[in-house]
Amino acid sequence: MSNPPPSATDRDAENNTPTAVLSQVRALRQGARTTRHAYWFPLVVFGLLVCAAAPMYIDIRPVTSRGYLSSNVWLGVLGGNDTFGSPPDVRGWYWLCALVVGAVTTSLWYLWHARITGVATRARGSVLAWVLGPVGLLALVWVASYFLIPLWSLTSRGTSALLVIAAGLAVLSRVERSRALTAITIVYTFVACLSVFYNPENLLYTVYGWFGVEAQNMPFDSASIVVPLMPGAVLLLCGLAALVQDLRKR
Amino acid sequence: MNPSGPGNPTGDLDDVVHQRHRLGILAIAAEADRVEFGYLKDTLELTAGNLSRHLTVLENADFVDLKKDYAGRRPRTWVRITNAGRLALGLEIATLEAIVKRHADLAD
Repeated sequence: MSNPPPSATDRDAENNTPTAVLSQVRALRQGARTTRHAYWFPLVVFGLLVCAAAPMYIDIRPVTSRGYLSSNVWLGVLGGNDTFGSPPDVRGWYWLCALVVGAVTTSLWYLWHARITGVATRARGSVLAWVLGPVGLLALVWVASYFLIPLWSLTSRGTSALLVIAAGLAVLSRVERSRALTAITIVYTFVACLSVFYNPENLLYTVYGWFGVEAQNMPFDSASIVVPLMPGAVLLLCGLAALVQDLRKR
Repeated sequence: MNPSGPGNPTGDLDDVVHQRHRLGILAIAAEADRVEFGYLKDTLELTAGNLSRHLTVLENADFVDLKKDYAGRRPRTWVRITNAGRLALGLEIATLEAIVKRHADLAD
């Protein structure tokens, strides 16, 4: 003789066991988290802004006129004082505007996303990191110089804004509670550190060397575009991948 | 061993939080900075009246803050979990996990 089907009361009792309740709570949290995630947008925006800086790293000046310092200490922290690319002041203004544009559009994006989905993320921390990051950098350089600690490698290439972007992303990955964004932030920060503290052009020359390009034929004037393009490509590709993932989940 | 004896974690369950829908509201609210009334209603499959009653209970216990704003002409209610609400949710989950563990230990 077969058992009778479970009654509604039995099913209610099953759903109310501590194990079932815990599993429901986990499912609700996971669902809210998935709905709330919207980090593809800042990745794409900052990816585009970083890649758009590439022309400012191509040197079109004759060798004899290269090498000047920024006239402004603020812009010098972001624009650098190296001997390649556009004048440091131009780069400094670009990065300052890029950080503000990225922060403002990200802030508006999260407000809009919250209105559409009904679940809000607190993006204020990362927005503040992007806007106030240059001030922090300036303070760091000033304090370091006071104690005679040289930080020229941090600012000399005009790439320090890449680290400000990384700081904002680190804050964002914490509020988004996303392992994927944390992994992206770690990879991006590593690549950004290459652009800030190393000469990534050397990687490009190595690749050219693999294809048999002679030293005298290397693109020495334009190779510096890899400085912003490498971290920019990481942000852009990861942002687009996150967008595709987001669309699949919906 | 008597499951209802001393040290039984069921004594730590808070009636305000333990109710399934209120636990659901707190669990969702803890995942976000703030969450909209409509999202809670759809996700928890509650009527507006039912959800309002649960929110009132949680608000009276200081576990959530309610704020209203407008999307165009449409009023919207946003729910934000308070620190007390976060603590109560954490305690409830810890208690439920302790009960599950206790039952597993008794079964062994």
